[in-house]
Amino acid sequence: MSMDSVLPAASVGYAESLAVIGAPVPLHGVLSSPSGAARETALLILNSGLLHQVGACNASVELARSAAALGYRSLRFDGSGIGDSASRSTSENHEQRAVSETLEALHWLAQHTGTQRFVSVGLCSGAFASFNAALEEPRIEGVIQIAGFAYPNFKWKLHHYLPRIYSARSWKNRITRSLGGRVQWRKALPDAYLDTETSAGWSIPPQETVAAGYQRLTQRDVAMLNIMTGGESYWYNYQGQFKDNFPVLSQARFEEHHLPEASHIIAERDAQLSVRQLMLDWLTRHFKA
Amino acid sequence: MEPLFFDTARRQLYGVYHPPAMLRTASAGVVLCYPIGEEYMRIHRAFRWLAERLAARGFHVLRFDYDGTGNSAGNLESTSFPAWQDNVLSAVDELRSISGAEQLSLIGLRIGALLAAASAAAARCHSLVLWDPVPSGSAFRAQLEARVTNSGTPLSDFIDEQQAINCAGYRFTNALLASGQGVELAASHFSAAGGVLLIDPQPPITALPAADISVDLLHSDTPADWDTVDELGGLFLPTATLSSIVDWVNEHG
Repeated sequence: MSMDSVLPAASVGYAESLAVIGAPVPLHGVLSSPSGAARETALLILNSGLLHQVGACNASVELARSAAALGYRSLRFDGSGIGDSASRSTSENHEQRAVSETLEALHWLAQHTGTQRFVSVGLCSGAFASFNAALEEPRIEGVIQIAGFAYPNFKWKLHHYLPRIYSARSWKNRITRSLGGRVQWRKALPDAYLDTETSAGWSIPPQETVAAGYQRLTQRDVAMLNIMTGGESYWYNYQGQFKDNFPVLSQARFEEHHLPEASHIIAERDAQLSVRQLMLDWLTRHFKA
Repeated sequence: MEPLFFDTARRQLYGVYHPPAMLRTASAGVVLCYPIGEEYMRIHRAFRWLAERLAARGFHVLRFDYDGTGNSAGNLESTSFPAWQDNVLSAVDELRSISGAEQLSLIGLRIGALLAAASAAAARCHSLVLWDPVPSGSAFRAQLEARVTNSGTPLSDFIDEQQAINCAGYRFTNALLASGQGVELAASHFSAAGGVLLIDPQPPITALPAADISVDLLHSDTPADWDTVDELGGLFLPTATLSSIVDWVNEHG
C-alpha cells in the first residue's frame, strides 16, 4: 500500500471559514472543520518563522484538511506582522508574542466552537511556540514539535565525529587544507549555536529550562510528539536523543522520530507524507475523542 | 487588510482585500497575481508590502491564491492552467464588485505574469505589470525540468514515475503542466490601453506589442532578487523594484 492511499484525501471531508481573532488589530486565519461531526480535540497550527499560515510547501493546509477528514477541527493563523495579519504595537518580544497570540487563538477557537482540548503544532520557531504555549495553557493536552530545539550530548558527538574519523574524504580535505597552509579549524557549530541565543530572531533556551518544561508537561500527562529532520543535524542526529537528554520523557506520553533524509522545511515528497502520517496516527491514538 | 473567500459557488478561492487608505479622483483597483510553488512562498511577504503601498496611494487591491494553491480549495493534483486563468477573471470580478472600480490593473510575477497577460483582454484590464514573466506554459515545464535535472537535492527535486515534476516541496503533475501547453505570451496580450510595464524579462520577450500601446521596460540592478534567500532562510524584500511598480501603477493605473 502506498503512503498516498493511507492518508485521508485532503480534498474531501472538510469545510473552511475565515477566523478573525481579536481587535482592534485582528489576527487572520482559516478554520478547517470536518463536514460531519467534529471530535472534541482541535489543532492549533502555528507559523514557522516568517512563513505565512499555509506553511512550508503548503504543509499546514494539507495537515488541516487531512485532520478534518478524520474529524478534527484546526485553526491555522498568522501571528501579528506575519502573512495576512497586520503588526501590533506590543512590548512583548518575538517569543512572548508567539505564545500570547497562540493562546488568543485558542480562546477564539474555544469560544467559537466550544472546543476545550487542544493540540499545538509547529515547525522550527512554531515548535518553540507550541512547547511554550503548552506550558502556559492546561487545555493544550498535546504538543507536536517539528524541527524544534535540541541539545547535542556525548552520543551526538559520537554520531557526528566518528563517521568523519573513518572517512577518507574527510582526511583528504584536512590534508589538502593543511598543504595549502590555510588550515582553519572551524569551531564546532553546535557551540556557536548553543549559547549565542540567536536563530533567526529566536533564542534557544538553556537545557535546564527546557528540562523543567518537559517535567511540567509530563506531570500534566501532556502527549508529546517530536519529529526531527536532517536539517537539525547540528543539534540532533540520532533517534532517542531527546530521551537521553531529558530522562523524564521516559515516563511521559512521548514519542520521537528522526527523519535524517528530510530537510528542515521537509521539501521531500516521501518525508512530507511520512510526517503527516506520523502526526495523524499519533493524533488518533492519543486523542480519540 | 481583509481576508475573504470568493467564487465560493465553484471552487472556494482565498484572497486578501486591501481597501484604499485615501481617495483617488477616479476609483481604481489592482489585482495581484502570485507565482506558484516555492516562488509563491518567497514572494508572499513582498506582495503584501506591495498591496499595502498601493492601498496607501488610493488603490483597491486584491491578492489571491489560485485554485489548488495556498488557502484556496483543492491542491496541485486537481487544478490546471485554464482554471487559474479563470481564477484571475473571478478575482477581477470580485474586486470590481467590492470596490465599484471600473479601471483595474493586473500585476503578475512569473507564472502570475503569464496568467495576467493571458487574461488581460477578457478582464478589460487597464494596465499590466509583467514581472520576470514566464513566457509560456511549456517554458515553465522546461524551467522546472532544468532545475530538477541540475539539482543537488534529488530527494526533493525529481521527476517521478507518473512524470510529475517534484520541485522544492511541490508536485506539479503531468496533467497540470500539460494544461499549460498553448498558454503563452503573445503580442495580442499587450493590449492594455493604459500601458504595460515589463520587468526583467528572461529571456527577452520577442512578442511585439501593437504600435499604439506603450510598453515600459524596467531592468532592476539585481534581477530575480525577489527569489533570494539568506543563510538563515530569511527572504529578501526587493523594495526598489516594488517601489518602481507602485510609482508606475500610480501614474498609469
